[in-house]
Amino acid sequence: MAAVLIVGAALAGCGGGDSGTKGVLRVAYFAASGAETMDPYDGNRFWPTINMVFDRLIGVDKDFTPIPELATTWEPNADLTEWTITLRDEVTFHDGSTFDSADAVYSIDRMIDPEFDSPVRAVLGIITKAEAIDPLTVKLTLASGEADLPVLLADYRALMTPEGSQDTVGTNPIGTGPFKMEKLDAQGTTVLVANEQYFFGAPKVARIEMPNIADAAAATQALSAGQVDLMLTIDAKSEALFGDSSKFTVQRITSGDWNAIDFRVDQKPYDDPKVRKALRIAADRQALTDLVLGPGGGVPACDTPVWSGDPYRWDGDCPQDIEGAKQLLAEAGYPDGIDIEIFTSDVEEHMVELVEAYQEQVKAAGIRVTLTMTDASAYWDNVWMLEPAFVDSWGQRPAAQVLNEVFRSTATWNPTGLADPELDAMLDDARSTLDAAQRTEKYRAVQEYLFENTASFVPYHKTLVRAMSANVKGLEPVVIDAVRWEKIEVG
Amino acid sequence: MSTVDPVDPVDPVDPVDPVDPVDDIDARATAPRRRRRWLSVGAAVVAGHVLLALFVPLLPLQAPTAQDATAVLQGSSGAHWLGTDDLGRDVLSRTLWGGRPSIGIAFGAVLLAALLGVLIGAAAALAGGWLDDVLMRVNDVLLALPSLLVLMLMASFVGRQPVVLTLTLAVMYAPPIARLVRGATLGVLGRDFVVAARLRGAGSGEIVVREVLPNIRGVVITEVAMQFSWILLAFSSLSFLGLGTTPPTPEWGLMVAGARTYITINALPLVAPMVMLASLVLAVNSLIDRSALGEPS
Amino acid sequence: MTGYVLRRAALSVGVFVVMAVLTYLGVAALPGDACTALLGRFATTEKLAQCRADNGLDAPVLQQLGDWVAGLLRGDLGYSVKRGAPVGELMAPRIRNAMLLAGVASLLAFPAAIAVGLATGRREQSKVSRTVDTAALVAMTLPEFVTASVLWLVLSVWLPILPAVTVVSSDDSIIDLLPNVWLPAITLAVLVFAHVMRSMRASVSATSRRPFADAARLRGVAEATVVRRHILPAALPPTVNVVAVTAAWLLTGTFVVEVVFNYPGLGRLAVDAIADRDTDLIVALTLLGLAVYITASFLADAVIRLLDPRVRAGVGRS
Repeated sequence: MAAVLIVGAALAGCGGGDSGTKGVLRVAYFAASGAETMDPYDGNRFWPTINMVFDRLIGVDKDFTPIPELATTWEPNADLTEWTITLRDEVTFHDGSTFDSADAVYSIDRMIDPEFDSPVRAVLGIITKAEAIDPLTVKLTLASGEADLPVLLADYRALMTPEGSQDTVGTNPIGTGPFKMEKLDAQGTTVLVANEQYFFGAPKVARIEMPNIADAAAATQALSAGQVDLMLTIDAKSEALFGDSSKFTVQRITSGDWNAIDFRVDQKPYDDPKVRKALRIAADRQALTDLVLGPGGGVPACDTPVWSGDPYRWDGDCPQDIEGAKQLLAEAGYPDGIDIEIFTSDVEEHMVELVEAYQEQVKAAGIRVTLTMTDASAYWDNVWMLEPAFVDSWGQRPAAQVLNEVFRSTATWNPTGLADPELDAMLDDARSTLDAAQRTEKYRAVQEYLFENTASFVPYHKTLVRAMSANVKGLEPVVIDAVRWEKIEVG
Repeated sequence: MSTVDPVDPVDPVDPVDPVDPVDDIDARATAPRRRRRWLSVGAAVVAGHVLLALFVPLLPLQAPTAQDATAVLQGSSGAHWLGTDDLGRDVLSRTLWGGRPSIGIAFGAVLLAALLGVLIGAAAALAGGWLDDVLMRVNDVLLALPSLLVLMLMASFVGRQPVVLTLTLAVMYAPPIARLVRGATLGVLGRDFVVAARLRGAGSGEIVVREVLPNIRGVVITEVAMQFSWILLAFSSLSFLGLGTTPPTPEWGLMVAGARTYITINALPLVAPMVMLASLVLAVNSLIDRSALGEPS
Repeated sequence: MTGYVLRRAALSVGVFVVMAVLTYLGVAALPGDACTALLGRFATTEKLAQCRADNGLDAPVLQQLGDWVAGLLRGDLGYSVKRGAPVGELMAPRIRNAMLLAGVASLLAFPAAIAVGLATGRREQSKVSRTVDTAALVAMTLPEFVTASVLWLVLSVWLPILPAVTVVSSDDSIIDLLPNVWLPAITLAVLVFAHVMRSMRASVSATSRRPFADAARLRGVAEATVVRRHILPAALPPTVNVVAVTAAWLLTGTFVVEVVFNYPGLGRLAVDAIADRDTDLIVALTLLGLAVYITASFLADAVIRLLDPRVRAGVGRS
């Protein structure tokens, strides 16, 4: 028994308390499902590994300006309906084959294929045709003019896969990216090795190991104990755990992830815009942000899904207005206040706390909220978009994408069911405007319009907090999708 | 009786005193006052918890759900004697309010479980044969039934009312009691005074009430008190799974589960409800232990 | 004797059938199914229909159960829709890991609990005995993740001798897994020790007072023999029951500890399977759990019969 203990401890000495062997980056992540696949266009894609193995045509820099990745130039025609893209020369896949326009066209075809119905189609479905003009040139034809096509092509899922790889890419991914897949085990530890021939330069670590740690607190412990080097996101309120700057580095990254409380407009009383506005202005967004996300954990928003780093962002002023809310409710026929039920679940972070905090704040306006908990595994199928009022959670998206993907009346995933032809017209107008300054004005006008009429209460965008051990260098404080994995070094 | 029984020689004392065999004259003589003091401490604590649960609305406390964005995870201060939790709510208030749901449901569940357990266990032991086997297999089914599945089914069909939780917990925690009761009953049934009672012509019912129950009382009550502890503990595991009390209700298990991420930052929101939980469990067990040993209560 | 075993076996089979049916129906009654879990939030109606057709989920529930039973008789435990692998393949490494964890926790807890329970039960009134009992009770009220946090702080951060969480894959070798077993096993052992020790203590205490023990002492039997031949066999049966139930729980009910330490055991697999509505996997795991309890039950009864011949003889029953 004592011998077993000693052997166990000796073996543990190699892993426990170790601050990371030179050349290996250990990243803790959480696998939401057990069905992770390396097919980037699949709904169950294995994030963030796909960005280590594959590249996009176009990337984004810190300010979300499009920059070349596998594409070097992109030119639209006069009405923005045709785009000609030049590809980078002499790029090879991990198996040695060359990347050319046939691969690009194949990839884009898969992304927009209505039968396969990839989630990326919601972003790039505006492309109707992709054709290879010559081995290094691709022409994209769009259904209508879209000035921001490059930004849309920078979606983290719009990755280039080899021609004909549909059936193999899920388990045997061959990409052009900085790392090659060595062992795919989404529920255990996934291992990737460096691609020395990467066109942006050989990675500075030899290997990336990604253990799946399902519990955030357990992952925090692993980082504290030196079992992993990097946690991609931590709860802002846990930042204090990593205060020792000789051992840990903490980054705060303003991002565009958002939560909302959605009210279905086909259910009373949410069909009345006055009620909807009252429900939204009764909240103190700054306090809500501080409470739910922690102080400095987010940037308040006035019901716009466009985040603070987006060039099209509208920064309105929307302080808590209890009297205004009461007034609107009285006008709508609720002089003694209103009783509502909001469905939530702990399926994702902050969704329960959001309702807890909101509930307290709006009491003063006579809005009496009942919080109804639902089981996490049933939430997206049985509650989301079905119950009268529920909590929503979205990742960061550029303005053109999110406004069309979530708020357009014909959007598949419009959670509130709000069908507003005027909003649709404003969106159409904005996206086909060539002049950048005018376009910005138009997108801002859309957001102001939303604030008056929307059925989605969007209180904030989250500021991500990332923690890593102090010997991890080269990781910029940018969102995961923009991370250059080849630049990270350990030790 | 013809085979020599090395384990338990014939015991002439038993038939004289069948109702109270757990008679320890020495112990009673040596430490009566100490035990009675423990007893009254235990009783006082339990009474305190029950009174608190009943009368906490009358206390001048801050609202248990009132939030304060500027005072999150703070330590003890003049405004908040036990500090605040991760939503800026007063920990003292939430701790004092937190016993109401827990105590109500836990007591209800454990009493029901005890009832069920005694019925199943005693019936199985008395009947013997195939009925014993059937009952014990039913018991195994109840024990092995995935409680998570049952709870989720209950929650999705009937909702998350306390009554539903009580019933489900009772069914979940009855099987160990049933097994114990059966085992202990079998042990008693073999003893000479039971044999004597049967020879006297006593029926099963009388045997259960007069011979069996008083003799298994000690072990069974200890186990019931143990299950009570498990049930109180279960609330935090249930909240861990998202199936416990609905937020923002103050409830010890929910508070404990919610505070776990921030233990190393501020442990008060975790420690306060835990101390309440521990004190109640300790008090119940101390009370039960004493009375199980035949002491006047 | 053979009659007894046969009867028990037949009953057990019946119980398995009932359990399988109940579980299948239970999962079917929950909102959502394996396809909604697989395709996730943005699944369209067409994709769901396609998935259900592909996986046979559009057949009536009882037919699906029938197919599963037919497969079971062929030795095939079914298929996990969410994880895309046969159930047997998924369960095998987890069973091994669970046995490792339960084994280590049992070794740490049971012998010590029985020994300490015996010692404190005999001197029931002593200060030491009462303090140990109270400490055990307090230990039982600590939620697993609190014990886990304390252990982690002490053994992974301050004195870094054990890994904080498991970062190896579930099917890695036992050698790789061994360092990760200790913290979860100790956490579990604390709870188990407390429970078993207190039960033993109460039982020994009650038995020690019985006149036959004094009678033996008065006859001049050595104290050690009194304990070994008179007290222990009479006091063990209730504790044997507790040990059986606890041992079974160690194999299947340790979800919280597994999550907190990221240990790939059966507890987490079962909870994840229910969340994923992976019916074949859920039924297989439930029947495994039932088998574990039935075996533990059977072994406990056998041990009790061995210990107490009066039970064996059925004396006292009508």
